[in-house]
Amino acid sequence: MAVYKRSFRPYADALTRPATRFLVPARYAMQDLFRSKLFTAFATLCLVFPLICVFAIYLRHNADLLANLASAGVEVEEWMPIDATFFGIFMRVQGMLAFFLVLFSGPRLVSRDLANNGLALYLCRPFSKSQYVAAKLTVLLILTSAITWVPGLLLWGLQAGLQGSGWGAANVRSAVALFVGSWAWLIVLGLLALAISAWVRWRPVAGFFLLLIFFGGAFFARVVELLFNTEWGYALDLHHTVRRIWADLFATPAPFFFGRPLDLPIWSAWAALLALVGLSLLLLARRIRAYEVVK
Amino acid sequence: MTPVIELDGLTVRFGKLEALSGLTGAFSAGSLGLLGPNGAGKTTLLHTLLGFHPPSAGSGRVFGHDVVAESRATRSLIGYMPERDSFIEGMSAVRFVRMLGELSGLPAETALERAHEALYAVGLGEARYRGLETYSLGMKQRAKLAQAMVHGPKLLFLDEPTNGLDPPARERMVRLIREIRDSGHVKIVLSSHLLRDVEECCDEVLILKNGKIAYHCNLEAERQANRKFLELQVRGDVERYVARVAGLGCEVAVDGKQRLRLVLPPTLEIRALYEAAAGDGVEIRHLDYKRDSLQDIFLKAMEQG
Repeated sequence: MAVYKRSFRPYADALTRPATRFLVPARYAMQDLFRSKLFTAFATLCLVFPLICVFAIYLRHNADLLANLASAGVEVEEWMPIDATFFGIFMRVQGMLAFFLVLFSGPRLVSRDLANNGLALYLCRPFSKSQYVAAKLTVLLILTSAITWVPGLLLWGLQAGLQGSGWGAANVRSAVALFVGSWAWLIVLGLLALAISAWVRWRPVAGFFLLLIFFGGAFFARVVELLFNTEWGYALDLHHTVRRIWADLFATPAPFFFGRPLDLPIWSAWAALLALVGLSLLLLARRIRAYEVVK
Repeated sequence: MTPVIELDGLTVRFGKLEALSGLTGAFSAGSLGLLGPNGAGKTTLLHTLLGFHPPSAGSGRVFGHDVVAESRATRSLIGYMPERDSFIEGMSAVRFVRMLGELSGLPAETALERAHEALYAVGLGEARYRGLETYSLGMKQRAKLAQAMVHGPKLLFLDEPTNGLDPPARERMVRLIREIRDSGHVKIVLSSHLLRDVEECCDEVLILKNGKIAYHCNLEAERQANRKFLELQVRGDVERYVARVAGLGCEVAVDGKQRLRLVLPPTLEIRALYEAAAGDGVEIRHLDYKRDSLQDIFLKAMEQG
């Protein structure tokens, strides 16, 4: 770019709307994430399962293929019904992939600002702490939405279109479950990743803590169960909690843990998620600041 | 005219520590130097005006905007160059400055154009596509200055801008600050514990000590007020001459064999010193006004405050 002016210049023209400025760091963060070939490859891989599902729905409605398979003795309708269970499995697979996507991207979004005192540069401008969190959360929500509820609803729409004859009306609960279940999971996941990254600041450690919370919860709950003979420890297990919510939303059987179904009250699962959201917001409010004050 | 900064009993406490204690004053200088030893409250004052710390009591205003109630409006007028190393990892200088320009409200295209200009202005034109983490300390300081000025603020807060710089880099930074000041488009608040930086860049000085204002002065006015301090170098009967000028009402100190320091009484003209010297056969080889340096002002403030 040719540069004609090389001195301080005041600016008196129109400014952008303050309400949309949170999209600026979101845009830059998104560009930075996709500079990593590894991340781009993983994000692309996350769309493989939805493509498999598209193929499955296509197979399910290909009359010639169905006839050929039926003549070979394979009843597709029996082993591959497209119903709430199908979308429940889709949710579980993509929800897990969303977790790994957040694991790769979440700590990176915040730690690089915190590592070199970059937050002061954001907050010394007409840009608030909540806008900062909204910017980072937007990145995670866009990424994870792109592999969860967006392809999920497209699949649901494809199935409804191909099946016709009132399938959509009969299975509207699956669409709602995809949407609500995804958002509940993605918001918790996003806020938790940001809060942990802001708290520990060091990217690998933040990733470790996220893994610990997701996979260590079951171990903790099992220990609580063995020691106190109660299943309530599972209310603090994020993995169990979200699967319990999804099962309830899709009206599918309760998830199995350690070889038996766990059926804690649904309110306890929602309460656990809400508590986690509250805790994450509290951590963010305390950690996202221009400077630490040593009292 | 609205003062640049107004303080009204501004107090900031961190737990039991009172970092700023009832600061009051109005400052309108084109460039204000904040001086004080480490821990005097200079950075805390800047941070409070930026809305980083809420005042425990009192208030502060920047161009008439309350720093708490109108924090967003206040920050939109300010460009801030922090003291500590502050950058965003993995970004080139031009991307870094552009993003921060956009955060200040510049449209994307304008921000890009101005980011290039700002980086040229601070002398990083050739290095603007390099990653910030590869910059030397001096270059990082200049990148911080570029991000502070990219959106064309009305007021620049420069917190220890020459910290850690070698003499040529310091000289360059001071020259840059003077150029920005002389453009007349922006007011500057320069916080430093280096007297020379402030002396070279500022019109007014606010000296802080233990969170209180120890002294506030206009440097030029202060220098003018001290025109009655003289330094003389004489040859001849010094003792006799000292007695003679003391008789005229001067305060005299002998500094070495032939060097005198005088404070003239308000009514006495310098001509009388020459007449006295001629009467005693003493030669005045050198006569100069002994202006108070900023160091003198600072030391006095430290003693009094």
